[in-house]
Amino acid sequence: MEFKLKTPVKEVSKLKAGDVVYLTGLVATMRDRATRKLIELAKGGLKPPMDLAGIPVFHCGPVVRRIESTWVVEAMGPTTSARMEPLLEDFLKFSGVKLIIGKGGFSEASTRLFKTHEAVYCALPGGVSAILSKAVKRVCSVYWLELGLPEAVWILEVDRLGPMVVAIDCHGVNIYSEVRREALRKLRGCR
Amino acid sequence: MNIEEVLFEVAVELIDRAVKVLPRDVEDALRRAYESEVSETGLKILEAILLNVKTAREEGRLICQDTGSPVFFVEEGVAYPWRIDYRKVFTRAVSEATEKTPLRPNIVHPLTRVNTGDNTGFGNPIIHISKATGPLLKVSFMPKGAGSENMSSLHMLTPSEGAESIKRIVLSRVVEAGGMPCPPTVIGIGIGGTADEAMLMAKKALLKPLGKRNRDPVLARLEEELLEEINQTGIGPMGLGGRWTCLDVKVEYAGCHTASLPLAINFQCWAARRASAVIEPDGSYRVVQP
Repeated sequence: MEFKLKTPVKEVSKLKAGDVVYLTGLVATMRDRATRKLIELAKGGLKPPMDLAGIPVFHCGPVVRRIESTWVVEAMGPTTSARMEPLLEDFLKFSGVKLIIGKGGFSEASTRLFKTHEAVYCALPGGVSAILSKAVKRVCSVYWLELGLPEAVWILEVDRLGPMVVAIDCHGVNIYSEVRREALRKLRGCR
Repeated sequence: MNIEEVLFEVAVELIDRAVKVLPRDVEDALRRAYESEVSETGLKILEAILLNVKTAREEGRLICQDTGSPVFFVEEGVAYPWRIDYRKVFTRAVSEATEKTPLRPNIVHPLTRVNTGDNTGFGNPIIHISKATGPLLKVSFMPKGAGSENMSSLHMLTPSEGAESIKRIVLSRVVEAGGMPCPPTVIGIGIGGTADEAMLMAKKALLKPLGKRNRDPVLARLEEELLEEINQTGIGPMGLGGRWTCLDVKVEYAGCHTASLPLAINFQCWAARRASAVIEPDGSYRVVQP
């Protein structure tokens, strides 16, 4: 199935592993340091300055350039989500985010977290920043610039961001672990 | 003619070109993969990748937002008449390109994680200098993305285990890496030498053109067998399943201690970016790739 999703994204159970998604609306970029900061704030009982309700979080460190008073995204694409895996459980719990976009996926152990929190993980092709940056309509705002340009949280308005593949759904299917399990079976079969 | 000014211009041009124009051999390999991919998801991904490569080239956009760690390779002919401060020239070029191209500022202090802002500092750019025969200077630039670099590894094997253990380890590393190095990858392999030399050979192997086999028939066969077996794992484009996990395998080797068998593996993402230039003694130059 192919879906054209519009934000806010609050309910994702219709998305099944293998579906293709194009997203229109707002996304928040977030990687290692911002994810950690958000969790630390939440654990201290504090709210982050950005409203993430219904906003997909995108594992991405864009190349941005300031032209006079506006920020322009020169290039953007997904970063390796596995680096955020140790933070995933807390992130899903505290952020309430229902859609994570990244690349490379999470391990088999994380599959149940997506089920519990009724969230999905969508994979964008890695490194296709020339086409993805064209999907950015504008930079709406930026938070935590002190973390560095790639690590800051950029709220972006996007139009048909994709193609992304639903790689971990909220029904317990994780394409990465299925592919890996099959590959390991083949490797053992060779010997 | 000021040779350092020439080299500065060459380096800025190589950086700009490498991050916007994918080498022809890599694009051809991606197209062949697309034409023979069997997975629907894999096709969708390869289609997006090819469109992206075309868009970047035609519109002067970055191929990938991860413009990598800056790595230079210098082959200086023994008869090249100039003395050059490569570190000074390449540092200035990277700083300039970070602003102009632009590159994403990726380089940080390894422990404090403070970003230097212009991709230089603390030993960056990385520069490998070697001597060659003849009167020419060859400079190559490879922006090396972290997703693939993070999957790299060094294994000090038991010599008696030989080629079979090399294949077993490479295959298991490919499966463990899954979608993380952005497959279909190019895999550089260094066999022999010392630990440091093996790693450097693996990285240098990534400069070689895709589709051409090693001149040594034993290594050529190893490259072919590895490529075939890696593409039977089914990891596929971006690790989401399919026929194309790897575009090519490149092996380099050096003699090693009778008690050692080092194996180094350096992953390169599908965006196998590189650009080289050959500079004459009079300062004229040509970009030889892509």
